[in-house]
Amino acid sequence: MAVRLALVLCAAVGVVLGSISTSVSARQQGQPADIDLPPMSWTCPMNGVALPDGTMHADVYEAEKGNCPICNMALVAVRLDTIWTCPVHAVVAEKHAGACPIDRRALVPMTVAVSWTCAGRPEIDRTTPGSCPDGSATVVKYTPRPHGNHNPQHGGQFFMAPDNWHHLEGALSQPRLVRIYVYDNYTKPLTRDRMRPVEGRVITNAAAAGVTRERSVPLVLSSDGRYLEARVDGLTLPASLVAKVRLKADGPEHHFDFTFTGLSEEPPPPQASSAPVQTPTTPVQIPTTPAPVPTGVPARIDVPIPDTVDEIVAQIVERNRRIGELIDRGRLTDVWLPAFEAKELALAMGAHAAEMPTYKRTSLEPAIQRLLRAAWLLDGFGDLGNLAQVVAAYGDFRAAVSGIESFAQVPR
Amino acid sequence: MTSPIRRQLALAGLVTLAVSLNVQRGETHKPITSKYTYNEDVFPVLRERCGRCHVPGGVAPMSLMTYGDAFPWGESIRAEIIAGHMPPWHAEPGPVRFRNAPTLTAAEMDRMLVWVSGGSPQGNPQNVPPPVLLHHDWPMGRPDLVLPLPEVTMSPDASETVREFTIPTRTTRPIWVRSADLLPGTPSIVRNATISVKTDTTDDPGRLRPEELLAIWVPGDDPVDAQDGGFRLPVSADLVVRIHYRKTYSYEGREMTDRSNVGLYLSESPLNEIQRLTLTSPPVAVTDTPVSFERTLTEELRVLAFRPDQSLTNARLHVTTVSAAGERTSVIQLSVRPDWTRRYWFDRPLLLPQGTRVEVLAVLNGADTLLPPAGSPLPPQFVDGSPVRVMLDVVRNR
Repeated sequence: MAVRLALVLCAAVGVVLGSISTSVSARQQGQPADIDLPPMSWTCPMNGVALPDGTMHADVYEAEKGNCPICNMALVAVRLDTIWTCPVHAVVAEKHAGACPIDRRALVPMTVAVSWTCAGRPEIDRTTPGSCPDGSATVVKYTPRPHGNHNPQHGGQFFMAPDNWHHLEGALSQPRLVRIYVYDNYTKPLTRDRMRPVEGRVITNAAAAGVTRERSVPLVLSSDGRYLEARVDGLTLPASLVAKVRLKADGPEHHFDFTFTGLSEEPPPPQASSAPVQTPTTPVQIPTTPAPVPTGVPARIDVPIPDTVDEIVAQIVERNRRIGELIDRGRLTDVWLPAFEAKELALAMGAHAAEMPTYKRTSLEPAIQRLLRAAWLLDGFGDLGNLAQVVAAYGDFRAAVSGIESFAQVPR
Repeated sequence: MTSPIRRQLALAGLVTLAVSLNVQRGETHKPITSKYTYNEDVFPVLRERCGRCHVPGGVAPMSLMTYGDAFPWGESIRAEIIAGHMPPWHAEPGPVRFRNAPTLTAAEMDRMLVWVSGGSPQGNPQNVPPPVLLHHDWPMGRPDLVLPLPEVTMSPDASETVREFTIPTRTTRPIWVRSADLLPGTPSIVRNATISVKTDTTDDPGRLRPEELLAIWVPGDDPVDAQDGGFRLPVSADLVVRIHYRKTYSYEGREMTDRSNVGLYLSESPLNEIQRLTLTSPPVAVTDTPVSFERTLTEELRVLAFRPDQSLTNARLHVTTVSAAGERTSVIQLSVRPDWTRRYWFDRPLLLPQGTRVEVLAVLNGADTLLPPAGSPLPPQFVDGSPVRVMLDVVRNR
């Protein structure tokens, strides 16, 4: 029942998504002014596919229709948008944050391609809504994109590897048992064959008798090839540890910081459904060279803007608190969202500043600039899972928020 | 070291890392998610904020005045903005405002970042902006006194040179200068310059002395009318003009010539003479330790501007004033970057009563390299034992 309700909601939300207005994109794409759609890119259907010479087809995105400069295939149109979905049950597409109707976990943002299809006619796939051959209205469809899903699949902490293709999740599945899951650019688990060359170790600092000693425990591939595992004796909560992981035999050893405040909670198993979110049909392979990726490119940040400056400031402070909490819990990949929401709120406050006396405006603008730069830094560093970088950027973010708060306290 | 400066320093390192990460990502087109387009939203910002240099014939190595020009530089634009390298101001936004700050507003900054991060769409082809031409004139209008400089020729194999000229003013009476400016003859190769009054007196850093540095010229910078003070030039004073020439890759292998002009804006009536107050650190021998130094004012002064010593590069500075009652005010935090040393004119003069303490915290080699990637701390670098110097341009209260 919940799933069915979610599907209905999904279709409804799709219509809403399709009608949200930004005049710029409508203008850009020559769409009717009363229907606003996400901007369109032209992409090659062979992106990420192995070529006959053994290399990988690089990601190709163009601003205009045409042929792929690599394989000469016709480029296909894609519109990207952000939806809110269940962390591991991708059958819900909401416009705003909320709770997953299946497991009640908080919904997470996902970048998807949005298109329109017709019931029973999967071959119909359009970039604009309209009518189906039988006269009924088209229904919206969401398709996962590379790097569209940076959400943990096992209740752990999820990072993007510096090679811009792999993703990695660390979970504390049982006391003292650390598991590392490795995914591709679509957040699909690596197959057993591709897991085999992955190796790594877990490093902890244990203090005893006033002396801190570093300990390194090798990660071992599980018998089913689904994850790497290390038993770290003496690990107590909250636990901070570093995973050093080599994704290819001749590749560099990557550094990932994890902070576990409790055991990672494995989500309930997925339920069968006719989900509108489709899995990619393109074969997924590991590229030999890192592909350029659209990191830090959220499709759209849609945060409701309160009417008053005081309420906006309160919302920014709340996002600041949330970032701190995410960092404390080691969820570095997630900090971009509250950071960008705070950025949008701060910019909206800047718009209010036009109505304010000069002395308030001049106090506000430097703090907004500082917050904005720190938000982009948090976005850039959060994905990579290096705690020191994120913490330093957050220090500046916090200072900017303090500046905005002090502005708000100026008597009006 | 206080935690705010630590944070600033750490951030300086972070943005450097951000720059390097972005550079590695290449220039391939990204999926278009930007609601901003070049023709409608980005070009107006680029024209207003960057068009003095990033224009055909400008000193910048690339034009950004057409979509075709700007598109390949998207990642660089993003990295430079986040790092605070461009526009080249290099002072952190703070409570004290400045008069000649070529900065982007937060909204403009976000518009640029969203555009380059979201696929850099061009927008409506019907709205292609008109060509932008190099603006080549005196920003403050025709000066009261124009002094031509000798012609300089850079041979095809020269990529960089510094020339110094001594030019006579031939004035028959003392004159008061409100502002000094340089008009390059060939803007594409004039990288920076200083204009000073020639003086034979030796500097005594312990005392106020008339400021002889009339202007530090950097590309895209408008001259500032000192307003609350002026520079006094004695009868028939000589000016020393030092120009740094550099070719961008567009002009490599070509012979280039320049004949620049110096312009002086004068005041008919005497002005409050601008004095220089120098703050000097103890000798510095190693770069990995922050250096702090201070000076307590023995008289009330109005501070018009701040400038780091010309010899200082790749450093991070934080200047704070502390009143006799202990109240601290952050005056300026900046990265001193090579070739971009400038004078920072305060929007309003800072009135510093007698007894005010001016504190300076300096980290050498700290503008860009303080925070290396985890696990590889920077080795200390040894320098020549010179002190760090910064200058305040002040006038006495009348």
